[in-house]
This record gives sequence, C-alpha cells and structure tokens, in this order.
Amino acid sequence: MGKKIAIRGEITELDQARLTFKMQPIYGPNKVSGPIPEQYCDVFLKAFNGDKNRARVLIEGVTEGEGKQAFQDRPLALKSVERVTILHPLDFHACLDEFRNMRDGWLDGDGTVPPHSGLDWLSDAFRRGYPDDIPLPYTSPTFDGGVQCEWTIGQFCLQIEIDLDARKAEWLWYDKKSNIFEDYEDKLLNLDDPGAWAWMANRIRETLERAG
Amino acid sequence: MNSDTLLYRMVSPSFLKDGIATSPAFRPARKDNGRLSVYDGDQISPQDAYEHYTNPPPGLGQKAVGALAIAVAECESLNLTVSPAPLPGFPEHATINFAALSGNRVRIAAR
Repeated sequence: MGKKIAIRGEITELDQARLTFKMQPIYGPNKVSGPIPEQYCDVFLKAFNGDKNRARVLIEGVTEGEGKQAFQDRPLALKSVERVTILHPLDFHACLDEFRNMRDGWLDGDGTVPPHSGLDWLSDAFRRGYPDDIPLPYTSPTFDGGVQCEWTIGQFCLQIEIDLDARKAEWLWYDKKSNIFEDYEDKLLNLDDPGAWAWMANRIRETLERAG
Repeated sequence: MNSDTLLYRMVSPSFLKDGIATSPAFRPARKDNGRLSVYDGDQISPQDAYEHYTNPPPGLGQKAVGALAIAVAECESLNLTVSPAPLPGFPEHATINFAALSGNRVRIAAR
C-alpha cells in the first residue's frame, strides 16, 4: 500500500540511464526520489534545465510504504509517478508553499508568518474560485501574516490584500495615468463566497479589455 | 541629499516573484510608524548597503536578494518626504515617510 501525494518543487538530480529523479520540495520532506515514467522523460528533462532557470514541477504519485521518511537525510521514495506538470513561474499554490517555510521575524526582525491553516483554506478557495482564463497574480506575504495578490495590466494596478483569519480581502484598483482609484475598504470581499471570486475575475477581465 | 539622490531599499526573498519585486517590499511595516527604512545613496554604494544589511553583526544580519533604488525626486512626486535618520553605527540610514497617507494610498504609493 502506498499513499497518494502531490508535491511541488524542483528536480535536482536526473539519471537518464536508470530513469530516476530526485526533487527538492518547496515545503515538506527534504528530498523526494522516484522513477521517471517513459512518457514523462521530456517533461523531466525540460524541468531540469541546468542550474539556473530550473522550472518548478508538480509531481503526483504514490509513495512506497506509508509515505514516511525512514531517516531525515533519506529522500521520501515514490514507487510510481502518475503525472508531472511544469508549473507557471507565478503558480499560486507554489507561492503559498514558500510562505509555509517562513519564520516569525522574517522582515527586518519583525513580520508575522501566515498561519498554515489559513494558507490551506486560501489554496482551496483559489482552486475553486479563480478561473484559468485570467493572468496569475504576483503573490507576496504581508508583514502582518496576510497575503497580497497584485496584477499589473498596462496602466492599471489591481491588488487584493487577504486577511487569512477573517477570510476576507480588501480590493484596490488603480489607474496610474489618471490617478483614479477605487477601493472597497468598507465592503470587503468575502472569499468564502464564490460570487466574490466571480466579481473579481470580471473586474480583471474588464481591465484587460480596457488595456487592450 | 537632494532630488537626484538614490535611496536603496533591500528586498526580502519573500517579495521577489519571477524576478520582479512586489509592492509590499516598499511598504513600511507596523513597527516603522509609517517610515520606510532605506540607505542614503550619497553616503553608501548599493553593494556596501547590501553587505551591511545581510552581514552578521556589526551588519544587520537580515536576508535580502538585492537592493532596489528609488530617487528622492520620485518619492517627492508621490508626496512622500525623505529624511536622513542616522542611527548609532549606521549613519547612512534614511526614511521615506508614508505617515501622511491613508491605508490604500500607502499601497498605491508603494506600487
């Protein structure tokens, strides 16, 4: 019996003769190893593109045993890889995985870390609510333990600042040329409501059209 | 310090995405009381500023992926005042004052 897992990270070693790989996850076990299915050889090679510009991947597979590392310094072994996907450089879930590694005091000795439970919730909410046809945001932590997403579309800047405890976001839309901005400080977006995600997606689409 | 002076802001690894610094890198934290710490480029090179920020004591021992420069003139165009704010052993310290701006105006100015 194995355990199904999905893990994001970088391929750090590739053995083309043995068709095996090692991966450095963004968050989680210190290494993952496994076999390369023949149909995914090209994807692994593309992801393992030298030391620089190495793409991140999502590997979905099944672990050997119960999926626990026998020793801290041994990689977590996969007995099979079902799918490997090269991730977009702004992949939202990979960004959230990065934030899971943060420690309190991460910014000039100050800075609260985003709570893992909040990141889990946001990851699910984004998966359900964010459509594929609009650009991915630039995603950063905020110093008070929240998450900020921003989009630059021509002359327009769009941002949401997400409070992970309240599960709400402040919206900001700004036209750099005319210096006009709109915000909803009094009317926060409730990100548990699919309607809030749809509203936001429509505002992004409208802005894309305006920017040409 | 004059309008042409460059101010160096260190960028935390968490604020670099796909080679671009995101706007929270330029927003003051709660503890800063609306004042964003920068290095006065008339007194220190970006390389020396980076080393001061990241090296262990007497450096500040913080993490950064690099330094970004902003001119004093650009701050002034956003109604942000810049002041020298020397600290013991850190004479190049200066601040950009966001305190006069409301919540979302801070986010816009940082952008």
